[in-house]
Amino acid sequence: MDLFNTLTISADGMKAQGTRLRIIAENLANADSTASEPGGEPYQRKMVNFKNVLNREIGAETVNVDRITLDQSEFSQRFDPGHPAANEDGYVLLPNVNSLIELTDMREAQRSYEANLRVQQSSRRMLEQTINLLR
Amino acid sequence: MSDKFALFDVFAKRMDWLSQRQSVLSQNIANADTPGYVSQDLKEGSFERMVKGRNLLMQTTATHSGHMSGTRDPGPGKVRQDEVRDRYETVPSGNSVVVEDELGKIADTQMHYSTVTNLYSKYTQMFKMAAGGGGSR
Repeated sequence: MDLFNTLTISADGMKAQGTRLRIIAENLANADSTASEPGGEPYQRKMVNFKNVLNREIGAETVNVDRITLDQSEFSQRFDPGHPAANEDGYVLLPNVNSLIELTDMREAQRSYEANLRVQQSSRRMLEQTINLLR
Repeated sequence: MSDKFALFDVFAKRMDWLSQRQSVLSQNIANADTPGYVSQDLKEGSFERMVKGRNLLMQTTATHSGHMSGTRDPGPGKVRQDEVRDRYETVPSGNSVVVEDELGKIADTQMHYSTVTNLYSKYTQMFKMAAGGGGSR
């Protein structure tokens, strides 16, 4: 039945947004994680890629997390010779995490999650109405 | 009498269509952040399109009793459509789902659905009234 499929589709969407939110949390938590050895690389920002896949069981396109990639943008540097991760010039590489971008992304994930939730509520109401026909 | 029961069939078909639309719209919402995804919708069934779809396909003619008729069913034509009209919000990744738009459509679908289910139960009540002879108790 289509309405039950709708619940599955929305649940998949919510799952994907949940993964996205988890990655954002990882990024934000590691926003200041530098390397442990001198001259080493700090935490590299992760990104989530979405992909639509055909769920053959229900015959509909659902969303899945395709892969989690690393952001290849440059690390920023800070002059701090006393830092344990400083290289021979005295610079420390900092993670390429921009908390402003992460927070914006978080809002977007939240909004998409809510939209999926609304769809699920709406489908559930329709199902209830169908069941009420039996009364 | 049978034409009175036929209305139940109409209700069932309408509910089927609406739940299919709900399914398509929920796909759009789920894929609201998928790169390159184009939002989809169901076309409202129209009599004109159905007639056109039937006339365009030619039927095979059987000139001998051993001939088999074509198995191709003309059908009502393509029902699902990809939206290609200019959207005011297409993100750089090529995704054209506008969440607000889709939620509006979902609210619309839900409203129609409750109309149909209400009509259905009203109609059932009328049948009960006729069969019981004493009104709804």
